[in-house]
Amino acid sequence: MTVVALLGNPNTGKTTLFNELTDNYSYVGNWEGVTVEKKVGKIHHSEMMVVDLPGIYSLNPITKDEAVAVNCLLHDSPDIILNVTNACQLKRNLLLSIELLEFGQPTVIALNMIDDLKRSGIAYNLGILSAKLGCRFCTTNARNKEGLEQLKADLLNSPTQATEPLALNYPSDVMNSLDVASMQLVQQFNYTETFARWLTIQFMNQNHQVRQFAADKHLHPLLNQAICYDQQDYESQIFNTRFDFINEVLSDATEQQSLTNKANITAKIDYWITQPLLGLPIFVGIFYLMFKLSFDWLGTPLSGLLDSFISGPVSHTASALLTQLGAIPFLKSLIVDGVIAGVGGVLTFIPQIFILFACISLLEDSGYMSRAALVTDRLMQMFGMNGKSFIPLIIGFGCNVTGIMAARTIEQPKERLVTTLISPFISCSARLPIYGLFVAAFFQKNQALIVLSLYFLGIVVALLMAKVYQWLFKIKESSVFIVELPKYHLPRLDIIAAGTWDKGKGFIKNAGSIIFAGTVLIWLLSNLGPQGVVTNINDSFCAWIGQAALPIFQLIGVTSWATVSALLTGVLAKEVISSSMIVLFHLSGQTGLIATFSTLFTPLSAYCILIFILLYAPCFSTLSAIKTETGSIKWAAYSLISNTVIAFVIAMVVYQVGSLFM
Amino acid sequence: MMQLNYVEPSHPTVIVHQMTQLDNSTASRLHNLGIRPGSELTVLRKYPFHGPVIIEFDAQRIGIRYTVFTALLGGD
Repeated sequence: MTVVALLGNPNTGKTTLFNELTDNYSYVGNWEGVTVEKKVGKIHHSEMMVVDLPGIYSLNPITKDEAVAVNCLLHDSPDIILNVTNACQLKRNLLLSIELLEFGQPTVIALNMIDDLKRSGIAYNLGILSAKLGCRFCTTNARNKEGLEQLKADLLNSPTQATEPLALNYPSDVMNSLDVASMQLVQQFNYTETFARWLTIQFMNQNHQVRQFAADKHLHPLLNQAICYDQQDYESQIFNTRFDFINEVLSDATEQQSLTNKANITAKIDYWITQPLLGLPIFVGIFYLMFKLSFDWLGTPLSGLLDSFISGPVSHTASALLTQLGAIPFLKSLIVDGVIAGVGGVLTFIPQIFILFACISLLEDSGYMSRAALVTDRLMQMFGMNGKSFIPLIIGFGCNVTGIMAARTIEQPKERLVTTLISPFISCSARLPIYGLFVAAFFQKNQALIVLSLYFLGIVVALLMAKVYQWLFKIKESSVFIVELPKYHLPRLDIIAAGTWDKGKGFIKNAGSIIFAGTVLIWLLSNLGPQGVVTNINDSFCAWIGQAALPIFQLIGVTSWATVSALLTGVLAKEVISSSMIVLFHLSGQTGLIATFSTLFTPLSAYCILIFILLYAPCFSTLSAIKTETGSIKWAAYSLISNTVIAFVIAMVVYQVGSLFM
Repeated sequence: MMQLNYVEPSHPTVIVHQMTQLDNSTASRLHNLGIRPGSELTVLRKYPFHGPVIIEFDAQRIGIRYTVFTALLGGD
């Protein structure tokens, strides 16, 4: 099977192209670093595999996700390279293309976003580009599905054997060293001449990964010359040769250049969005609107309808059906009071969660995210982070696991570690159902405001902890912050729908697996005791466990053992807290809720519980993501303990201080 | 009658003098974006309190930090 590697600069539309060419759906956004891992798909009706790789600026990786792309080239040797470029920014896109063409595999270069180029009044002669660079060129506009058939045909007709690599006229010193070193590599290590030359150029160019590769394979012809190459600054000489070559090619290939006076739409929007004084208020305003929409205007009414459907018709029908079938009362109670009430109670939050995700997807697809990174950079710098850490944190609103994955685009390892450690404080969607239960019971009038305050508290704690880690790890290295501001896209409904589904499907999947299991577990624990089936819940296992830990939790205002038991189940997954509470307090959906809760909590203790739930131990999935990304189980264990302690201390202080006034 | 038309503001341009004061990662990333000594940059916006600077060149916009910006122009 032929393997096509999709390579190109960040945010040139590789993933959109990948989605259009193959049967797979991948997550698309309008900012650099959407793809952090490689994804594989098959071109429709063919035997061709396409590998979607993270965007790279050059073959010399700076970030962890870029290394994935370079590794694919070094170790997996794809048959065909599909180099996706942004037609408007061809000059810098070609810097990468040259490195790929020197590699010598058959290459097709797609000039993507060709409509933007046309609008700017420029056109390139593909014949000239093709002749100068020695590869096929085609034009596409992946967002509008234009030029895809031609591209597919080009890929299917492309040879899969190595072709003549591009050979630039580097300065004579570089050329002589290149000839000597590559010849030795061919003789001593049996490499092909093409690969030897490519390896040598990359080695001269101070490509870290290639230098590591050379050290691992003991490539002495290169290793012995490293100092000499660096002293004569071959890197700059190579760069300048490439740059001059590109300028020459482009000036030959540019066909028409009509000046357009139309101020483009991106400039207009940016004029307002990035105003020095308005930038931050606009950012806060956008988020406030998102929460209003999710909780007050649209989400909560829809959620109410869903709730009355589940606790009414669904529950009654199931109950009647089970009685008719002659199910034993124990089983009937497990299904109706346990599964339907518990899992159903969590599912009623689908409207809020999906509306919030749709808003975030809209922001991602439009191109606003990188502006958000920019306007928050100064603020983040005060906490020793950079604006780019802000994107993983916002992604964390969906799920902390994906947020932690998105941190891979951060350049410095220590900043990446800090971002990973503070990510669990960001309020993920799984915590929404429990907020929903409590605000419905205690804060009817200010639902959006109370929930927003929790989200902000999460961000504040995350930033303060970042500062603490900064000091603990003695981070002094200045951080790299260069962010591209892409052109705005008119949001496309199908991409938003797909992005919303991508983020939200985990929630629904969890309802069928871990929430279901957690609900059954808590139901069993609360209906079984040391003496077998118990009729009084106070004799159950659940009560035993809850009672044991209750004295500690009294410090944050918890008065019932059932709440403690529910909190303990939250480590499985945060959604389980709410289903556990529904089961333990025998709440039929949200209706009996207010009556029951008002005897157990005051508004103050309710808020303190929410603070505790916001901040305490990350769920299992997040812990395993921390372990994977940091490469050590110690950081996962550390997060588990430290977050619980921090949550407890903050909730206790709020409760004890608050009690003095209320 | 008042016209509220958007007028493209005119922006100052600067020339990159040197890139030797930058750390390696920043310098190579700027290289990859197509900036080298002699490149002409349009300064679209400077944030107050030495915040980020938005520059435009070769039909692309990027945001960089103030310190990087001053280093490109040849130090303080």
